[in-house]
Amino acid sequence: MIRTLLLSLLVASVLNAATQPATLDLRADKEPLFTLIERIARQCDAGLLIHHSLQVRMNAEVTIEAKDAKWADAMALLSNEYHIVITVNGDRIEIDDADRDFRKRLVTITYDVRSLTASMVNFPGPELSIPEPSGNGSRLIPPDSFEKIQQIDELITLVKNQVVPPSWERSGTSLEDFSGQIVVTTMPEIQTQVAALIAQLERTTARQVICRCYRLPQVPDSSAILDAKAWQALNANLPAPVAVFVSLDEQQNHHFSGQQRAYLADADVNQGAFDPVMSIINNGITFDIEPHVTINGVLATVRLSATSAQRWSITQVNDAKGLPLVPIEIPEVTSDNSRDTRIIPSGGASLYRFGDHAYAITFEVLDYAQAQAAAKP
Amino acid sequence: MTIIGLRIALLPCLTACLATFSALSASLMALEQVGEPPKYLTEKFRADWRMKPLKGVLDELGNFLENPLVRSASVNALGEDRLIALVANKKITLRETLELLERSQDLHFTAETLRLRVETWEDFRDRKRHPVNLNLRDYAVFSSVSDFPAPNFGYVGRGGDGSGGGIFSLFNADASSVVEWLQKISSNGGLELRGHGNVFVLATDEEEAAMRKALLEVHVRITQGSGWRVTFGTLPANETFTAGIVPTADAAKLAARLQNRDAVTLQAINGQRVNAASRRQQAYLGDLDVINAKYDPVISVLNTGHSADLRPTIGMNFTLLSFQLAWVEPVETTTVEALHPEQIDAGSTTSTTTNEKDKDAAQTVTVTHESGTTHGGEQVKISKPTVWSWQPRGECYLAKGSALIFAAEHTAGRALIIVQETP
Repeated sequence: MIRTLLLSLLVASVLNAATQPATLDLRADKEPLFTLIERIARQCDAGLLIHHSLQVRMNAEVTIEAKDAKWADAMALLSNEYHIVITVNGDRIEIDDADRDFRKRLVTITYDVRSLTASMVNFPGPELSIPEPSGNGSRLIPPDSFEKIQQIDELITLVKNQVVPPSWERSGTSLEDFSGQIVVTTMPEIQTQVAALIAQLERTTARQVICRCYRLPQVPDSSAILDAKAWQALNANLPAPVAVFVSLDEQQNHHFSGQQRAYLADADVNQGAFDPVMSIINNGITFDIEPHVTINGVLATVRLSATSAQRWSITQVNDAKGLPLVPIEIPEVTSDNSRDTRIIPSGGASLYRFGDHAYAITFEVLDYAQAQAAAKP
Repeated sequence: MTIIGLRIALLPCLTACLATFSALSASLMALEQVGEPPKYLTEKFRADWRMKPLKGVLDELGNFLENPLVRSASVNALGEDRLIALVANKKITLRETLELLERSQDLHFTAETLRLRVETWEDFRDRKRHPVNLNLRDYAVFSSVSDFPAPNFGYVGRGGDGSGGGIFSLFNADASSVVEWLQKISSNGGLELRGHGNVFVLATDEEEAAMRKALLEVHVRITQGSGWRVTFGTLPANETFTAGIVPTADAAKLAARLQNRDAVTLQAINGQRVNAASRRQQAYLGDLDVINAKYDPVISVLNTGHSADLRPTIGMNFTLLSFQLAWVEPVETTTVEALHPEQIDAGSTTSTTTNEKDKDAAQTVTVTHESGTTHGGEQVKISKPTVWSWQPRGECYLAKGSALIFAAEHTAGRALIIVQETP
């Protein structure tokens, strides 16, 4: 009994519902659009509901020669030509303005892209050589320099050009900057593409290298550049790296560690007195790098300086009677220095030899965009 | 930024709010019922209006109701101009018919027991509006934060003294721009800004909720922060470790292995530069100037210890981390002595001879002597601190769940600095 009742209810609901035919007869010869809409409703066995904003458009004269138009094609034609959208809803078809329907689907999302538009700073390292008497000494490291500023306008243009370009011309959509963020109003499926593009840009911008520097206990008898296999063999017994630091791709950065000593470097004669000139001298190791990640490895410009010995002597300045006035400290520095550009293969190393000293530098590339691409099936 | 600039900057938000407004109108549009459900709503009716004037449609409904159908002035004004296209292929309840009319004609019906009222959606909305007081300060709209660069450590001059840098506004907008923005959300031109960031507006419950939601979204975005822990420590040279960018879990394990461990924690608003340090300050006589032929001591201050200066900028899947770290240890402080011996300038003598009228009389001679000036005579010890210094600086993109590890040579073997985001 219950089963029969449920079945009859189901049949009744099916009978009441409008049907969406596979094809539509859209033929119209200089007829009002409303007449064509009524004809479509009849083909769907459906009632009709038209939004009042289409009142004027319903009088438009229509001529179409399409007898068996597929439903999707018919909808596309009506949307493109007459800016109307038809949906089957229960036992009726509902006609709405395509732009109004589009605007109803719009969502707004704010993307904070400040991490993509920040300027890149170069951080050159300090010198280990003896400071020039008239210079600033080693106290001041070279100033940072700002290299690139990615404009948010360029980012917006890129998104507009890459993500469904025609969609940005539709009424209600927008893509604007707001305090380093971009505010995007568009349809959800396009938002997904915008988010994916920004994430992709972020992965691309985030390409960076980890630089590891080693002191080698023995000077290896090998070429200056080792491939991954040769480096793996050499690295097996090496102590921990003496420097590990990070640099963005194409950014100059450095590592310095060591002692910084103040000393009396000079004395000027000023108003009849010897005016002491203090300076600072470094004693340690500097690796200054500028890596460029390429498909063939890292093209790296490296400046290496390492103090191997620092000795001191005193030159006493006396007055005419032999009275000691100012003891000027005279440093003598022995250091290893190198500055060149090499291409270091992936997983390999670059070796630097100075007599019985040797150093190795490796670059680990963190390429998130490439990793993402490789992870795709 | 000028006010005009700010208004331009707010435009995207205004656009965003128009979408909110569409959703708002939809939520407001629902047949209203006063008192007991009127019986006429359940009566079956078959609409067959093919571009029929609204006036005729309402007349037909009035006849069907057998109750008065009261029309607002705005509805009467639409009268003959508005054409209705609603064709039902079977009878449906009057409630369903009225709801279809509301949805397609932007009308609003109020069903009472003995009558049915109809008005435009705008009339209905205006009737529902009530005074709302929004305090913009609750959403940090006018708040600003400062950048705080770390003080200099060791001998490296980085230009900061730790007292604060530039100030930036969180919302980056002035009061008039915010009011204009809210005006678009509520679609009401009657917003008024009074003292202390209070905005007064007539709004429906839904409009008020939309404005508060938009303000809350902005508030959450502009006050988004991140917490960081920077750990300093050493490991013997023969111990192995992985440095660079590693998973946070690995960094935590390595941090637990460190000797002489020290850690500082930081909290930053998105894009803000903050610093924390455990430091020792040492004042010392580091130089001498010569002023008026005398030694003038120059006192300096040397900071040693551990310092972290971070600016985290949160992106979609990465955080751009700008960092200036410092690990500076005092090694020794020696002195050097400078002597400026005492010097006396030669004095001067002047004489005057007075010749009296009488040549035979004795002459009077006046002699004036002035002593020489004494200079110098100072003996000053200049301090010369020696420090061990390691100050990594730079920028990196940290993926979520990863930490940054630096390593350097140290007398204890290897020095390590671990930078990781805290939950």
